[in-house]
Amino acid sequence: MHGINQELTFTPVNIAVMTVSDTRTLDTDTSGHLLAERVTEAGHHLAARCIVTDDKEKIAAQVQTWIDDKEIDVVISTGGTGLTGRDTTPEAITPLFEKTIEGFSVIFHQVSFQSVGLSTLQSRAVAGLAKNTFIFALPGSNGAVKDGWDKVISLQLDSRHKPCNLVELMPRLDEK
Amino acid sequence: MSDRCVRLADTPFDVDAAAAAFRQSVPSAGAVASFIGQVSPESGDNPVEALFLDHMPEASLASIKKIASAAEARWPLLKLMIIHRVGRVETGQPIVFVACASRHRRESFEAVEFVMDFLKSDVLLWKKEIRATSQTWIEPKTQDFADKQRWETEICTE
Repeated sequence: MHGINQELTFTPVNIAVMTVSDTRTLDTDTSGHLLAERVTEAGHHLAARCIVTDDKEKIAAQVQTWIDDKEIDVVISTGGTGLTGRDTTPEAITPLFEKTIEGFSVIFHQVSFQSVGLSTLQSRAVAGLAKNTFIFALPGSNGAVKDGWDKVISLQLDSRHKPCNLVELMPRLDEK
Repeated sequence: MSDRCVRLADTPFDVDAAAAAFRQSVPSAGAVASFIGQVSPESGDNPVEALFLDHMPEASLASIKKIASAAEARWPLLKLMIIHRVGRVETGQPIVFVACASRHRRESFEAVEFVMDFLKSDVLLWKKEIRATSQTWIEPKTQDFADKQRWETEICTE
């Protein structure tokens, strides 16, 4: 059966949330707010939250700090995945990946297509793995965050999700 | 610009008192129309016990003000009031109150409907249904988008 098996145990993980935006503050960062709210509501720990400007070096430095932090299991960013000149989140974080999770982009676009149609091709949602840390980059719109979290990431970060999920893989990520 | 009262309420509010105060504040109006939305248990074995409305004080209020401005630009309103609950709202409690006053009834009727249609799908509030055995974030339904589209206008609230 696909889906959540309620009889299994939920294992919380530590998730850091990063908003990429030149203009938002904590008072106006709606997509970061709703991501942070849903992370904690799902039962996970919000390990950190910040806003960084659309600056490739700053984005990469923040994500690298979280990759190096053994307490942080997952990084999720929102924003900077579009096609305009200032959109550089994928360029900033994909060089940090040891493994790219190509399927995430495929599935995200399938889900997002149901909501926004062809507009989904203008966002470049990506995911990867670096030093035992899962990294997801979502677009900056509230709708994209809801699609990405509710329909994809939250399920893969739920240890009760069958037949597979990312949390059960965590102990095996540094197998040699 | 017409007179306006827009606010978020994080505790239960007296909807009847609000309606009475609104009407008394516009003695020159020929028409007052209002709407009360309340949390419905819906049908089935696992009824809704409450809604939780997640919000951001500044951004959520700003999104409601944009909807209010669009209504004021479209109809000659004498006064407009929107009170929207946030936080946990129990079944049967009011969740939203909208009132419009105008010289003639048509403007008030239409403006209240317009405001409600956009509040349902465009307001920056995130609703979670709380039932005995489950909690689910909910999204506007197809009908909500259809209701909004009949006004043939867009309001960017995000």
